[in-house]
Amino acid sequence: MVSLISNDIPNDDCSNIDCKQALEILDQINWQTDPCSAELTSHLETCPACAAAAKVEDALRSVIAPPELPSLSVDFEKNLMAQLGIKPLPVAIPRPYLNPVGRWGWAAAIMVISTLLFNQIIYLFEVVHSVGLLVYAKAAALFAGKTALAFSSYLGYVPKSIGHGDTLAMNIAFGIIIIAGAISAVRWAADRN
Amino acid sequence: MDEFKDKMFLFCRRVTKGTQDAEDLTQEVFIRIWKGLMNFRGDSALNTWMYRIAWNVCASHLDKKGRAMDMMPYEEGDKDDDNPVYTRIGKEDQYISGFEQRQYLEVLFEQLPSSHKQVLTLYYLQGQNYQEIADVTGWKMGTVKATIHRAKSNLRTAALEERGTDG
Repeated sequence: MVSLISNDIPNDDCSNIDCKQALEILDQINWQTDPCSAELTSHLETCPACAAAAKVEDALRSVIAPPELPSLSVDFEKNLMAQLGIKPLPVAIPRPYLNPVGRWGWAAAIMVISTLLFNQIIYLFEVVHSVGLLVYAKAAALFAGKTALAFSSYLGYVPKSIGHGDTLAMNIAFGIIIIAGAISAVRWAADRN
Repeated sequence: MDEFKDKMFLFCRRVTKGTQDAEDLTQEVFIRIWKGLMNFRGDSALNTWMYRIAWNVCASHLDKKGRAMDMMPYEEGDKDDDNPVYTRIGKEDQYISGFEQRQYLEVLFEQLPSSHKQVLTLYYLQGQNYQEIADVTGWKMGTVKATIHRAKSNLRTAALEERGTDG
């Protein structure tokens, strides 16, 4: 019989691990992280007794702390919530990218973009021909687009970032147009007189 | 969270054989945690506090079943040097191996007192140190250490003895 306690003198040096030391290292929760783990591995290769002890240790760990934990029943959480008087959170249902209402929101956004484009075209036309009355048509179109976009954004059908950003830009543009329209109207009235 | 639930379930299963009983205990633990959370002062780690609650729930359960002794530690003063595993471990031919060994250890483990199974679970599964386990159990740290050591030794020794009688 090989005695594992043959060497009673504690050996702090990793270079010459005896069986008692080996067992002490194996007794640790994470012996793989022990500074002497490499030497221990070498020792286990040459010492059948300690290698067997290591196998027992591994088996013991897998019994006490099984890698696969037992699972609670599927109703556990529901029953627990009921006991605590907590209503479970509603399950979030993902909204389709283009749901029926959302489509209208996107349609509104497209309309706004078209309005802005139309606005630019009219602006160029104005510059060339100085037609003041068109300013009012432009303002009306822009107002409709602005309202549609703001409303869609408010309802959440258009991403807030787009809705808010465009609304701000449009507010500024709309203000400028109103002022420009007023100036044109004054000029038009002055020309008639 | 799921892992924590399962670990708590396993912890509770150490005191009862029936799955339903263990689940009821686990539920009781979570209810007490929920109700006591507002009063948690942070004197110990949250994990330790929660396992302390679980420990008390399990002790109460065993008390009702007339198995209060199952929650007692080993008597202090037991010497590790008495541990027969160090003198017998050299008989490598006495070891059973592989799957058979694990199964046999499972049977032996189930025969340990409930508190010892729980302490070992805290040590190996939760990775708690002796002081943390002492905080959970209310035992002295030396008692925890001795209990873990002796419980493991008992398992090894019993396995060896069984193998010795078989072969």
